[in-house]
Amino acid sequence: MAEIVTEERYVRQIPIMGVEGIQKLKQSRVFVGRCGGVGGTVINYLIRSGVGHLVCAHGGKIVPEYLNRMQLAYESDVGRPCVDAFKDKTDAINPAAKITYVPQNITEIENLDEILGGVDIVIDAHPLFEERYALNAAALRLGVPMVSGAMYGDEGYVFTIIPRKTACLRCLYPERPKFWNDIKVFPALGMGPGIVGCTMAREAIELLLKGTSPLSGRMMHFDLTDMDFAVLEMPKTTCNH
Amino acid sequence: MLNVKVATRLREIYEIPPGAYKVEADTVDSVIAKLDADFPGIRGDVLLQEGGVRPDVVIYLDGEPLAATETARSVAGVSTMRIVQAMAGG
Ligand SMILES: [Zn+2]
Repeated sequence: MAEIVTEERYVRQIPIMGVEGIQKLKQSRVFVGRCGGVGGTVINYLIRSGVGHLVCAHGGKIVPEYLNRMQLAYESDVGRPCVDAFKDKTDAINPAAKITYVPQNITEIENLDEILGGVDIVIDAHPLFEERYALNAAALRLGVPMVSGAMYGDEGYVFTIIPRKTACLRCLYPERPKFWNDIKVFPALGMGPGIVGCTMAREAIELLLKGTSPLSGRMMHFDLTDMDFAVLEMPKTTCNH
Repeated sequence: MLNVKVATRLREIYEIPPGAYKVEADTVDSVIAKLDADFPGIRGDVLLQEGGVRPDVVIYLDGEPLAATETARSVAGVSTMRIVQAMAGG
């Protein structure tokens, strides 16, 4: 039964990426920083697509306010360590995906470069700028492409950084916005993070298969309050971060 | 008439309705000045006191990013100006 499922589950991807593409995804390794509304959506679609190896970092426990947007958290998970709750879901979605869960957020991880060793790309789905800048720096240091996605309320954006070829997060926003950590109730419906996560997963697949993607050096920006979607150019400055 | 799309967080603070704010103006600076006349205080969330775009904001003119120092740039022929504030929500 398991073999039949394994063969059949990717059949609709063959017209899109061929059997070779599916094989390539099975051999790929992706780091996902935070597995919430955005990162959990990325993980869901990457393992459904057959990405073989993931390293997923996320600290803390499930609280009720996560449930309106996190695909990998259910009501019965409240109070459980996040990574335990996420592992149950990902094991059920695709047991062939080999996922290493790290029960810490990126700024708490001491051996980050070791954890990122061998990854093909990194996914930046962090809720704090300190975490985003930490992964940006690591991606540049290790020469690994980074797909970055973020949202606020009904607005969101996704962009892909190719080290030394495109602008990076610091080229775009050089300083941590001081207002961010003062936001009292962060506005979020599930759809915004879902769109961000789906777009990031598609970018990731394209990067894994071809080494480049439609949003390499560009930004997809949207505002769901008036269904405004646009692709914007990233600054063309030479990144020296 | 220029369509100005304002970042969600600034729309919340200054009670700007969703959709595009429409304005007649010559330069990016004058767009921000008119926005500030209608929504007092917003200039300080987009531009630095000494001039130039704040480091947590990027302004796009029809999808092209404006350099931080280029606020005197003409908006003639531009259809949409986007004020995109840095976000980190995940
Ligand atoms: Zn840079």
